[in-house]
Amino acid sequence: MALLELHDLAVSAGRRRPLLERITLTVDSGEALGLVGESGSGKSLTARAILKVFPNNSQVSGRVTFDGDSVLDMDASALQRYRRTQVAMIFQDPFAAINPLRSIGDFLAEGLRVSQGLNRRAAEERAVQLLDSVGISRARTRLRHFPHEFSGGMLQRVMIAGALGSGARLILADEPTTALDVSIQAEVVLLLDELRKENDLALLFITHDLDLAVAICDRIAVMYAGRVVEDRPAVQLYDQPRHPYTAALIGCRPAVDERVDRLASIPGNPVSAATAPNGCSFNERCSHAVDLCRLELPDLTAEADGRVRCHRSVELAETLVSGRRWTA
Amino acid sequence: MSIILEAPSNTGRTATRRLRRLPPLTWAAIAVIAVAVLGALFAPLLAPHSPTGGDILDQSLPMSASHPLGTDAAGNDILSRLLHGARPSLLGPLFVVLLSLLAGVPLALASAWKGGWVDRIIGRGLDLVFCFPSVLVAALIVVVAGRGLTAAVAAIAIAYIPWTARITRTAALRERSKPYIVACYVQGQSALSIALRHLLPNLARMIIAQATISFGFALVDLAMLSFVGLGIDPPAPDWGVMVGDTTSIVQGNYNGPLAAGMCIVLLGLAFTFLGNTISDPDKED
Amino acid sequence: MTVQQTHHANEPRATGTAVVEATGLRKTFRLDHREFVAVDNVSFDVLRGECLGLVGESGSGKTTVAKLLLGIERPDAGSITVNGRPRDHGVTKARERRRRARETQIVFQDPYTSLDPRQSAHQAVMEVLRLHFGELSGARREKRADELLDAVGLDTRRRHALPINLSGGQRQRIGIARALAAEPDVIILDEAVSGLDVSIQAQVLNLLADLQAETGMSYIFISHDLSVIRQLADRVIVMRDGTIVERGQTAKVFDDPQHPYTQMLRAAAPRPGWRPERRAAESRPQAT
Repeated sequence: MALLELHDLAVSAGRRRPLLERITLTVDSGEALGLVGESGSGKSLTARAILKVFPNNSQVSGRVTFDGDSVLDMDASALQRYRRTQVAMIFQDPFAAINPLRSIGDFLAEGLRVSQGLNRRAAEERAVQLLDSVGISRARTRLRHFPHEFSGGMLQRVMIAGALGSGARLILADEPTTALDVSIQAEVVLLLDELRKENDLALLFITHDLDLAVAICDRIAVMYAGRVVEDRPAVQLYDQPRHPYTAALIGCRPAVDERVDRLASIPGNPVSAATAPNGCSFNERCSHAVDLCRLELPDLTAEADGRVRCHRSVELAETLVSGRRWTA
Repeated sequence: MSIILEAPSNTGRTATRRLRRLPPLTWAAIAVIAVAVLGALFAPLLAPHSPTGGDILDQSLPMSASHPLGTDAAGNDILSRLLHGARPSLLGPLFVVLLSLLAGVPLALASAWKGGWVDRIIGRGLDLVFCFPSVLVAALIVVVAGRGLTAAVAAIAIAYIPWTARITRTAALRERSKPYIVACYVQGQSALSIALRHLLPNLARMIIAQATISFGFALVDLAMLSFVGLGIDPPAPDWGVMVGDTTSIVQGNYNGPLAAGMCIVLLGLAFTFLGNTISDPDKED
Repeated sequence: MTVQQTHHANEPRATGTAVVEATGLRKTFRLDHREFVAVDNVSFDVLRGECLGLVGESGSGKTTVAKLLLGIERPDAGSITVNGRPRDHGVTKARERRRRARETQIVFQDPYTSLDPRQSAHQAVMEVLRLHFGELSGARREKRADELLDAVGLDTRRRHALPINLSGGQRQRIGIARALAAEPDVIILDEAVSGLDVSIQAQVLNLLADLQAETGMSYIFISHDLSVIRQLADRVIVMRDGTIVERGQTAKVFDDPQHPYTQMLRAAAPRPGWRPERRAAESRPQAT
């Protein structure tokens, strides 16, 4: 059994407006799963669902299990323990995720006291260690500093330190580098990657940037309109996509090392689960769509190395090219 | 990243749907205001008696079929006084709000648009006005111009200008920094045209909401001036005057002051609720 | 699509004459009584019909350069010449701004705040046309507005919808149509595709390339994203802390970066086969 399992998780706003449709995913200890999609795909909602956080008035069905326990059935105290000690979330904007009026030391120490039951002194010692481990120098002085005295990249490191300190076994990183400069982004993802491997953590890495996801994830689930459309090992998915949307997504991103005459582009706009057409959600934008795709929603079927939601994935296996290869 | 991409494009229908989904409290506020406005409009038709010139022999009568709320110490029918009194009590705040908007909004826009020394001078000027208590201003105007609705309205309006201007300036500053305003500037639109065609329409909702709330406050403030004798001259019917009807109170007849006081409080609340709904219609209370 | 402009139709791309010349630009801001140099000694020119890329991270001063060019900010030193005519600064009369609007336009990053929430696409474009082409009849302007919205690919059903009912990509198309409407010589694109979804980003980049090929206007394309700069820019300027650290043909600068900062930026950009690397200056003790 994997550490985190989502089984047929469906969320809708009220009764009418679907947000997520039958999401089935697993992340195991020491594994990094990339959740990639555009706006409306439901990737952030999925991360929040793992914490049992849902939009107001939403209806939920399906299962979320963490280490065998059903998260959706947890009572308030079990849920609090789970959120404090098992899972940690890292947000896009670290400045919005931290109390600006409290020092970094207070922030870290409070987390350690509630999650690990450490006393004041021990918590401070541990906080110093944690800052050290995320590469923040002069850790002891830094503890007395306030969030506004840090740069975005540095504060994101502090958030990662907090996540480590809580003893979390699963890290949910929701676009953790989108607000950062390119040079800082590389450092932060490297840090996440190293810490995950050293501590045997499970990582759910949510991003719109497929290139970034492939670089640090073992496996990637591509989401579209509230559904998983392809879930396969990262490099295989990049080099040999099996879903037309994945292929198009890789192909339409301009490359830093070459200029193409004309970018491959996907016509139309991304849709959300509520606005998706009948049949396959992607059919209106897909260059391979046939009548069947407009009539019937394809299943997420198991393939040799993963799962794909496309009627034509078998016959297109040879034809689908993204025009890029991860491995030279 | 946001979740909702394709919002419904039929705005007309969403407007009516939104109206239908208004919280009950807002509907109650609208009903209270409607009753007051209708009462004021049709006071001569609705009132069973004349609001003034009552017979001293009828003083302090209890509630009865011919006097549903009884009479006051001067023998005037209280219901009739309430209905007629609604007119100055509603017209007064209306003029206060209009005057303070007329002066406050242009000052705020000029201040936000020009910035620099213009902003500083306007700011200092408003601070100065802010320092004067409205009662003092009212007293001053009464000395110069004599008692009456005009003096009271002018005093309260002046007191409200800094408040209106401050709030509008803050909102205008925020709006002004948005790229679409910068785009208008770069396109070469004149400052006046940007202010009137882009800035003001986009601030309108907030300004109307604030005006509605200040209407409620002005109602109470004007009543207060009448109560202390700086507003409308008794025995003319007015809610503030009615609350301050000491002759009745001395006789142990609280019907008039109570009824008028309740009208003031209810309407004041109603306008505050309505203002809040206008400023944030999607909030559920 | 007909977006051909009267005053420079049929001109070949990048003719070699400079539309914009900026020399020795310097701009400082006061922040908490400390002087902060946003742009220092920045000089460049933009040729007719070319796309000049301006790449840099936050605080590099790239957006300040855009504001200086547009006359929203006033340089402390240096000069800007557009079409051979020096822009003296601080002139804010609407008439002068209108004249300049025919030369330089801007498309902003955030499609959610760059449109008046109360104006439809059609109204926004018509307003610009009224401002600059008052001599045309109403019918002619209507026709022109349709041409412009055709050119940016905004479908007919959406033209009278308010921005709140449109997606980010559709809004950005309106922003581009609004800039095109003035028939400028140069459009400044300030992170104009950064807020868009990946699939929409590609559409807009293709659109920008098409429009440039048709009209022969110049772009100043400001971005932190090396990939989109590579795709669109003929030449590139790399900025850091308000100064230019490297410049040249985009292909050359990106394939063979000379300045350490450019090399670092290039190495940090995710691409196939990329692994995040630790920078030499950084220290993190290996966990035991």
